[in-house]
Amino acid sequence: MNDNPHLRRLQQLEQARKSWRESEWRLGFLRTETGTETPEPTDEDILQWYHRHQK
Amino acid sequence: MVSPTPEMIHDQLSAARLQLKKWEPERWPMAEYAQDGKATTPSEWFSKMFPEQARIHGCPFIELVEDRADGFKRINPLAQNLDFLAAVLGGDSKLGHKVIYLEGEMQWYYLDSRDKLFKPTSDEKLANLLRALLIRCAEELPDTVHKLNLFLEFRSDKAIRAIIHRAKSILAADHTFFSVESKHQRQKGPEIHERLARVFVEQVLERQPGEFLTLSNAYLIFCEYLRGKAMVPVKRTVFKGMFCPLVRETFNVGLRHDIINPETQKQGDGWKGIRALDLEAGVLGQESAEVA
Repeated sequence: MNDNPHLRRLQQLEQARKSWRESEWRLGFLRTETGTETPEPTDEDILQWYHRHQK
Repeated sequence: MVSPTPEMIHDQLSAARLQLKKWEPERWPMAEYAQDGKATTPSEWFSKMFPEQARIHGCPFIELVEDRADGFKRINPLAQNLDFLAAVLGGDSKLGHKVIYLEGEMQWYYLDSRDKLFKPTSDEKLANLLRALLIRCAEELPDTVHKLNLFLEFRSDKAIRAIIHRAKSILAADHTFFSVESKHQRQKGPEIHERLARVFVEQVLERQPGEFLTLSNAYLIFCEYLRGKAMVPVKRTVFKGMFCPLVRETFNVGLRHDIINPETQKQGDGWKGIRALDLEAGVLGQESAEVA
């Protein structure tokens, strides 16, 4: 485990983005196209999502 | 052509065996620092990705393992475990995914992580996800795996239909799943009432020559039906707008304006040759009371 908090955050963010992409890939098959555009999540959104589910 | 001798057959059989082998994570002390191991068989690939489903429903595939002269093993997935693959459709909890089949509405819902709401999806969309997982598995595994079944047989309409059908019982949820007390929320909208109206027309109404159904009566029965599913009743105008086309589509009967209500002896809207089942008696009583 890295002791540098910046590096640790970067590693977590990379892992979180990977999980987010996997999640979106699977959900993409179940979703139906809509007329409204969904904004892209921020890094903070993705990290929060990741920590919520990786317990 | 030389016929195989008993010895040759024995050699072939002894070099091949069937296996049910799931993914097993590294157990040595420093395993957490090691490079993530790669799955080498379809069963390993799926059970690594969906360990919880493999723990409950068992190995994803039965595989034929052949030891080759060059020292490598050849893996051929022969048949899939329907229960495992059906459970896979239920989603990965580590990604916050969940898919359920609401039996009362005959409708699939998936949890959308963007807004944490359950949204409707379909048999066809679940089938697309399953086919995509199977082909991804085939693409990511080494060439020591026979991929024909993964690509063709297991992705055939027949095989996928069987899995979706099995999933309807494995992932079944009852009406309390979205009840007011439940923590689960679904996307609200007129489509839910319309979908329920469709089920209502199919399950509660039937063709019966000589009978008739007034619009008022149908509305009251439908509101009762919605209350039974812990849903808020719709406005009468909304009901009329979605119900009339559904009755026409199902029974090929149009709305008439000359139906005499026996309780009030007044002429009103309704359908001839249609009657409502089950709820009919109770709701007719309510209607009479309201008129009185």
